[in-house]
Amino acid sequence: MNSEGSKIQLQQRSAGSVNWGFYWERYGIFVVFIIILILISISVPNFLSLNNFLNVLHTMAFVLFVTYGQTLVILSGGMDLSHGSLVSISCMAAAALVALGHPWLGLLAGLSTGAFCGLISGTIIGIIRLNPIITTLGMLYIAGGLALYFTDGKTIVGIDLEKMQDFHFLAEGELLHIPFVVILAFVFFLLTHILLQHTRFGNHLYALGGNEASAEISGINFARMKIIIFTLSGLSCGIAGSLLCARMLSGEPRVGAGTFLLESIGAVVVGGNDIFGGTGNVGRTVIGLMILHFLGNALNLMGISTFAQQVVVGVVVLLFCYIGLTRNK
Amino acid sequence: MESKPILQFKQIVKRFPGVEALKGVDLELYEGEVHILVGANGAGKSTLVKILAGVYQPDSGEIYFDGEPTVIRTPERALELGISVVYQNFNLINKMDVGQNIFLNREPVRGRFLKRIDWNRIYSETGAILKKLHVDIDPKDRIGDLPVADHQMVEIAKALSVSSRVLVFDEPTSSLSTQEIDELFSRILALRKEGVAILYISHRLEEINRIGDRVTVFRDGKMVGTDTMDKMDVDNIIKLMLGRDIENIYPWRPRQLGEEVLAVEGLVSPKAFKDISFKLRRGEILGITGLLGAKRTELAHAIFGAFPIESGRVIHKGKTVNIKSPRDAIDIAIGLLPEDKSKHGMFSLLSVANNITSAGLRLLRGIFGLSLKTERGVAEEYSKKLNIQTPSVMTLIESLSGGNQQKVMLAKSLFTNSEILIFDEPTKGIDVGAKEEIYSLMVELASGGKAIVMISSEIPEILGMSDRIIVMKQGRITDEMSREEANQERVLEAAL
Amino acid sequence: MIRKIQKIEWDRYGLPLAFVAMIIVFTLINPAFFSTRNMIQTTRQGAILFLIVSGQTFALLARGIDLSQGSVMSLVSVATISSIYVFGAYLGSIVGVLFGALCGFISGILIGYLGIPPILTTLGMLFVALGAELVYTGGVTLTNLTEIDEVRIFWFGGGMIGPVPVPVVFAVIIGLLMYYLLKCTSFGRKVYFIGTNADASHMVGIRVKRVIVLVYVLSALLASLGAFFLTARLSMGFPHLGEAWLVLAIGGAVLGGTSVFGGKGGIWQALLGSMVIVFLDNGLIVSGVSSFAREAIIGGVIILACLASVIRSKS
Repeated sequence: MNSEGSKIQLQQRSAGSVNWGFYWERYGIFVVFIIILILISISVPNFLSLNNFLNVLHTMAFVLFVTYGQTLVILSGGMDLSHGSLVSISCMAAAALVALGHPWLGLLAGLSTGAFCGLISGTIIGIIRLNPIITTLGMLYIAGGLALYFTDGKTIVGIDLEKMQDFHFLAEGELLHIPFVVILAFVFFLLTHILLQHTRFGNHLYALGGNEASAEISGINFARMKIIIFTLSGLSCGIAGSLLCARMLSGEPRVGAGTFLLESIGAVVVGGNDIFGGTGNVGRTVIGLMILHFLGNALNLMGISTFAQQVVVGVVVLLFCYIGLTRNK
Repeated sequence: MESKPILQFKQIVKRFPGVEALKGVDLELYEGEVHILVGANGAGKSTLVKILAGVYQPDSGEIYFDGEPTVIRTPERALELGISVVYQNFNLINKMDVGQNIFLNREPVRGRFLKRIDWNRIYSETGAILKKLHVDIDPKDRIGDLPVADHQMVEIAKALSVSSRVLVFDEPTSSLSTQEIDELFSRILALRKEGVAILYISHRLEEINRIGDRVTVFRDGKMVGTDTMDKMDVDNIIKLMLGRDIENIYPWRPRQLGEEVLAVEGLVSPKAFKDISFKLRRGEILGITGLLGAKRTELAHAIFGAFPIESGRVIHKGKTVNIKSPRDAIDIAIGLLPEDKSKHGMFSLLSVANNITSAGLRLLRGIFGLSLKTERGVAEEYSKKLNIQTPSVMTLIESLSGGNQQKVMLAKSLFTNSEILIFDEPTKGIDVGAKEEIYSLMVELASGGKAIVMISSEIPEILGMSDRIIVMKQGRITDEMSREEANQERVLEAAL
Repeated sequence: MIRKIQKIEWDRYGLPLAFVAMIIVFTLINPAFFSTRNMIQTTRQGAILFLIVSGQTFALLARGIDLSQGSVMSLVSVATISSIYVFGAYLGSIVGVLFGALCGFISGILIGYLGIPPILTTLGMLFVALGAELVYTGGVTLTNLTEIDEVRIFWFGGGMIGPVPVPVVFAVIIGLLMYYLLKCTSFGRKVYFIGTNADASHMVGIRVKRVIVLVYVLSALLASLGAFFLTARLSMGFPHLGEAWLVLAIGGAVLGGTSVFGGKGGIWQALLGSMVIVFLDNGLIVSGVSSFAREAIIGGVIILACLASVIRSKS
């Protein structure tokens, strides 16, 4: 199965001594996460409250969707730098239709916009075989520009909360005290997990990440895989963008321009997935995002500015990148 | 052997832009035989295999499978027919385990609504296949953690699990040790007994008479001779491969030896080699041989400053030197022609001239910086001296043949006035005709006073060219002998 | 006729021809495009982009990439004005630019000596530099230079030497120096070697690590110089100065013909690419195209250029 830590490593130690390397590779990140939680709980007074936790999870949920898409892309050996703009443009598409009075069409529009952009990226990467980083960087730029062009930079407003209760519920409602969006994120987590671990598609995805040439020789269709993967990645942004629209009941063309990209890549890396692909799973990504968000939350509670938070997050991501690299050498 | 062939190629033609790779090839393959295909590089063997595997389509000609005319349009179709190929470069995914690799793109699924991968079936079936082949590997082992020889076995298991009628091996032994080659051969013979038709491609003439039933020789895209193994001897095969007679492949002649230029004492590198000591004199050709894993390349790189040395001394012209990087080695006139040209030796996108001068940029300095005129002149000079076949010295090196590329590597080391030349597998992958030229050059250089170290795993080559031979085994020197004392048995004994 | 068209070396002449065609088309749309004033303005912008693209070219040639150029520019803008507060116009400018070079030095060490892939390192440097200068300024633009300093510094960005803008003069001189560096010195040759095959470069005795550090210092330094001229003209430290320039830097380099895989390209290509982008942008403005559409168009052109580059390298 696509889990890390091989049995050979286990066997290589003599009987009687424990192979720490094996266990660290597999479970280390959980341990790190728990330790971070404990440290934060000690140093920050307001941290350990249910309210705070739920708040953090609520904010995190929106980004979580995007990280699922990024996980798929990175595990297959690529990277998607367009995530910020795709969220923006999806939010705009959704808001446009919602403002005209069609919430569910708006949702559809948001999803389709994200997916469509991903489809374009995937086609360029899969068929023309252009470097994913350059392609998605270009898509970042173009989609971002289009989002601004669409309304000349202005936010779409005029969405009535009264009429859009149901739509708004998606993002702000609660089910048994748990934010609905968190439940949605969990459902999609399960879907992504099953896709990766239990379907042929998922297995082929890992193969591509592990060794592209070998995967192709085995008959895996590179173009088809890449197109689907990037479309799903775009779709994940579409979901996030639509939900953000539902949250704010407006279409802000710069909504994704913040830390979405950093967090989506950061979560995948911090969680311990191999940045070159082939090894890892979506559970790790979730833990990675939780680490980043709880860290950010702690810094918030300590009164540190948002700008400083960005620096800290950036450094943390770099650190984990470096650790990941030296480990996989 | 059956009376009707399972596979027939009739007048297969395949063209690529600028070259006709196969010019009307006829070939027959029977069940329960091992059919060897030999030929020089570029003779068309690999192209034929790719057609069989469904990767290429022939431009004309017919393929018959089980007597029926067939078109093998895709790799999937080839697998359906029961044809599978074990390629020279393994196509495994290191980050996945054995079971995943064997069932890649054929994963069994179960369940009605959601087609989930049946992992249990994958691992149990993989286990069964491995057991049948007497291979002691756990299906859940990660490929990346297994030794390279096991990769070969997994590839074979994969090929067999997919199909079992025609099995093609494309140069399978280039990365295997002697022991592993023995195991491979016994498996192949066992498969032959079961009626599998085996096509075995190799240019290692010394191995093929161990398993071959019939031999077909390729030259320039055509089949030039086919017969049963016992009727074909090595000389005959070489003659067919090259189209001419080879008198004396090894142009060795005795020469005067000069003073000692290099001495190595007690060289140690953990996990690589230990207790390495030898001396080298001007005009001498020292052969270093051994099997895979003897760490000869590591030793060469260590002397050249590209591999770490923990302890021991390297003495150059009587003075102890500390070679920490290739720069240091080049500065004291040592030159290395690496085994893996494309990785360590060549700048493929650059010109022949750029490559020749790459180690000695210092020597090109003029008033205004690097002199391109000088570079061109130097390149043309060496091109003439070494008979490098190239349209111009500004041609990209990647378009040259293997033999000519090797000559460019040599020119590179000569440009920096190397006095000591280390050749690591100088004729690997080069066809017999070009080999001759390289050998002549080596002897000429030695006669001119250069000191040469020749590392090779081809024992005939070592025996034919060396003045002295050192045999290594797993990082240690196990024997040293002079040319007169040396023979195949003694070398093999020390190497095994 | 068709045969004659096929014989033209499109690789070499295609882009310059397109450039000329573009200028003609824009002039036809709006004659003001070709006015002296507009041309001078555009070359001023072009000079700055050329410097940044030249820097990126070094990184690309060595089979790397410098994603941090934008943030480093912002950092340098802020650092320069802050240093001018303390040291005065001239010394302050030098200190500011050196800050940028320092970032390049750090990136170079991480890439060359620690072996971290350039994409990751410079991506990280992008965030660190950006975060650092945002924290320092709190997002606020730095102004309030003394009058003397402002006059002194403005000359670099907005002044003229005869009919030619100052930045253009500097860019020409620096450009020639960089061209010489790449084509005629061993350092330049080594950059091409490393971009083609880093392992083989080591085996021929090249000190790969050292060269890489220098490459990234140059990339950051040239971007810093670009930032300096921009800042000088504004006479303000603008924390978001470099945001738009990263994509233009990579785009300009690839458009001009430098390969992302290393080993192919150079300063001439940098000049070509940056000029095309700058005149395209200006032409679109003069033709009345909205800023958001312009962004999309230029983005599209860059992607097409990259596509062409990949297709070319595959054949």
